[in-house]
Amino acid sequence: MQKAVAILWPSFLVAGVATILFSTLIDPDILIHGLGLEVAGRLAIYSIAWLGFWLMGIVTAGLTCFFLNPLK
Amino acid sequence: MPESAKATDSVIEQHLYAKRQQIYPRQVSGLFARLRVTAVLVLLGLYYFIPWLQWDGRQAVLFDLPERKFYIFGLIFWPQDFIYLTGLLIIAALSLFFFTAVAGRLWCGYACPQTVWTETFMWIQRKIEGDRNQQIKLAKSPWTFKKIRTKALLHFVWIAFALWTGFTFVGYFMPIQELADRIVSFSLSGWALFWVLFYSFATYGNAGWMREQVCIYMCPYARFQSAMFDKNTLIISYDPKRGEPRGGRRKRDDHKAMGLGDCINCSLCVQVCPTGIDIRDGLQYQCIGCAACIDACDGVMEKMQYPKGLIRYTTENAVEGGETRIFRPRVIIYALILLTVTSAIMFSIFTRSVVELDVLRDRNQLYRENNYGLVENIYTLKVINKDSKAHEYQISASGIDDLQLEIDNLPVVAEAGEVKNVIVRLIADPEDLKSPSSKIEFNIMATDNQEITNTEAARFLGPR
Repeated sequence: MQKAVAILWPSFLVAGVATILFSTLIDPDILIHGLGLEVAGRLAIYSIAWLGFWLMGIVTAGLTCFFLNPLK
Repeated sequence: MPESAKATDSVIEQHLYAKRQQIYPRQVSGLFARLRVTAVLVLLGLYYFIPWLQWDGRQAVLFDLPERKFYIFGLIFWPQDFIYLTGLLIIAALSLFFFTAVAGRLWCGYACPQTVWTETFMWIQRKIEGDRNQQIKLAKSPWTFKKIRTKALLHFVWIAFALWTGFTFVGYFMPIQELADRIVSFSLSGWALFWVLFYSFATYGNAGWMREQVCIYMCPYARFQSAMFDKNTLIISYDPKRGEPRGGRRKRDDHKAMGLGDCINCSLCVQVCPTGIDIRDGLQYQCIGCAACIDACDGVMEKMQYPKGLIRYTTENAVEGGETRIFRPRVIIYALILLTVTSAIMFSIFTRSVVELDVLRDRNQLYRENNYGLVENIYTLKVINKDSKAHEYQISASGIDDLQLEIDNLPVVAEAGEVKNVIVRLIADPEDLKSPSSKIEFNIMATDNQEITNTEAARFLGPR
């Protein structure tokens, strides 16, 4: 339980910050037109970006936890 | 490893990974409980009410993500104003330092959303399941029809309240009236629905189920707040000198003759604690400073006709018999920095220009000589209109004698919130160039309002 929180929670916080930075620096509309993605607009891009950042954070934190295990 | 150290380790480990004991905080009344209820009502009232406020025919407070505009009453912020968000976060962090140094975990006890929503969820639970003893009894009882009905009602009300909370949350990021209409007509976009449900689920989970575990295991502030504490920080503390040795007695007993202190060991302070600690064990990081134990103990002291304040707001210095110093270097420095940063940001917000200019040099060519032997530099100007209406702008350049400015696409008009790219050629006589790189300035001014103006520095390059 504590391990799950330690992985999910910090990556959640960092994903929030990363999404704010990302969406301030880059107008998602440019991405939509640039990549030819005809999705539901900015809200969708923000949400996908946030989920993506969260996923990356989860992978990183998960790997950290994994490497903390002593070698057997 | 010596045996004793091993034992300590395992105790710590057990403590960290201990299976959670469900806590049923007893309801408490008193001065600090009233303060907290007031804080809860004010904060939740603001939270649920603010999105419905109107200003100039639009939602007063709206962080319009789809449109990339942030409205806060009369002010409109664009993504280019990101610096103010950074400033706001710095102010928030400094305030937290300041208030923690002076008054300890004031935030946790009265204002943290986790406290505020947990308090509300506990209130709902008390209304449906009854007081602490009835809640414990219900939890222990077998799953009868009555228990299922009570629990179903509890979770139904919790979930309904959480959904309203999630709906309000999304209402800060897209117009709440439109959101409400779309929900009623089942035409809400998938992502908006996702966020309403996500926030509702988080509220329901955190305030209904996780409660004090959020403070103990998940909150970063709880972990590092001790770094901001010193011996003059306001804490909630039990007075062991007065209270010990604790023990039961009757009201008419002369407890001093019996060799007892003022603590009657009624354990009410433990029963009311939302994080389930015993304040008499000293300052603990689980203590969120809610002062429920103070109210509980004061009530008992009153009944026993002992002086109040066996558990009270105090400082480490005062408990040890010393004096509390409020104005100490740490507090004064925090206060000064906080004041400076806040006034600087306020000043900058209220004097900010509603037009902004970014200058980018043409990357392909440093400069070129035209057919008349004059030196030409090309720039891309980004004109950012932060006003709430369209403007036509005049652009000029200065810094070199007889500097000519040419723009192909005139007039320069930017809609509200638009970022307009303008290609500009600057032409100068090589005779007038005093160095291969001269400092110049671009000036921009709205044609309909001479107060809307801004200046940006750049360099003009020429032959050596």
